[in-house]
Amino acid sequence: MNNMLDREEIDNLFKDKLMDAAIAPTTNLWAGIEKQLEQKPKRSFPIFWLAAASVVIAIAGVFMLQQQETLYLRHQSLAVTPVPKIDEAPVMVDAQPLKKLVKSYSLKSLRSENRILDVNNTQNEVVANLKDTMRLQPSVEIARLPVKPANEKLLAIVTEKVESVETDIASINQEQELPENEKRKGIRNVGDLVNYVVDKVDNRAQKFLKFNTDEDENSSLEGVNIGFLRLNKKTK
Amino acid sequence: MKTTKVYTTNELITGCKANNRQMQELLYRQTSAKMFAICMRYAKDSMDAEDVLQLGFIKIFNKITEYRGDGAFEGWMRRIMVNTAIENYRKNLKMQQNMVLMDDLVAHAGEAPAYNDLGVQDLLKLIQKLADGYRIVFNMYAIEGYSHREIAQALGISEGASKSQLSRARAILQKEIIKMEGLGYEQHVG
Repeated sequence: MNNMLDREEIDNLFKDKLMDAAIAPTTNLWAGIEKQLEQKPKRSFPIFWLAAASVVIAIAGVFMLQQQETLYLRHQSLAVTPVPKIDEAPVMVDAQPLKKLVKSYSLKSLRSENRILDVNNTQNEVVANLKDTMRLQPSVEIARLPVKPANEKLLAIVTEKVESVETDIASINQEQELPENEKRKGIRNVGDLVNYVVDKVDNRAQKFLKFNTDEDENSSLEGVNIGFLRLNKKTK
Repeated sequence: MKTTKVYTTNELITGCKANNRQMQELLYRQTSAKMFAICMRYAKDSMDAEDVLQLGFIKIFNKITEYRGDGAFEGWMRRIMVNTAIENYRKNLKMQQNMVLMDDLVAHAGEAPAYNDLGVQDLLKLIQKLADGYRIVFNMYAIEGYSHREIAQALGISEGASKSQLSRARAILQKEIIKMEGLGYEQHVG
């Protein structure tokens, strides 16, 4: 009758008959399934995984040391003018600029005011006075004197840096929280364990070692990132 | 039948989640025929289908803890089975570059009943005779109801390739069915 079956007729013919069809498998496959279900836990710790885990732990140690170093704030202008520790700082008063100051002051301004003064005496007096007042000052303030010229600029630079680092850290934390929560399925195999350890140690988006554990039977190496060497399976 | 206790699907699921071997076996016994029919549609022969069934059930038991009860459990199982079949097909595809000539796409249908009387086994045979790619696309589109985009994504081909494979699969199936009809008619008359 229907010499020409249209598309839908063909599709429906197969769908109606086959969608809910049931065909008993001829061989008893349960035995094989049961065997494979039991095999799984036995090979949970093969030598390959032990080797991989030990390498991971070794490199993890190196990473932790490196990360501690990077926590220090460094800036070029900071390195140029080291800040002496308050208690240990020697009280240093350079008399040279003071003498010059007093000299110019006494020679120019004092003379211009027509005041006749013994230049040398005045100079010595001023220096002595200055030294006295400095002695009276608490040593803390004197100790801070050498840093003074750089203070304003440095403070601005340092606070700027600290702020940018803080925002960086905040954004990194935000980035990492999501995938971590999504992927937290518990540790089911060694691949998961390795991922967990690496996750704790390596904060980057591309971990230096990552295993794909979504496949049920085997976890496979998904990504490597050791600075110069970076491999990653393309994620869909 | 009366000696064994009858469990509800929920009881079976809970048992399987606890990795109870007896419950796993019961679930297998209850559902294996339906699952095997799916495997037969996607696989090229019953040996291949048995492999897929076994792989699929191991996957089901391993993933059952992820089943949260949203949607029918049978639908969840079917999806895993279909995905396993597709994975299996792709794995085979890698191993053997199957270059199939159009003439070889369909083997001789042999003596088969007329189209109206076509049973599950006959239709299965027709599907199984299709070339691997055609069979998978036809199954996914016509029976499972996937879109061409989903098929293209799952098989790693273009949407255009999915469409052309579907229409070629249909053309072959149509030809075969008409042939069988004619055969039936001739036999009836003669």
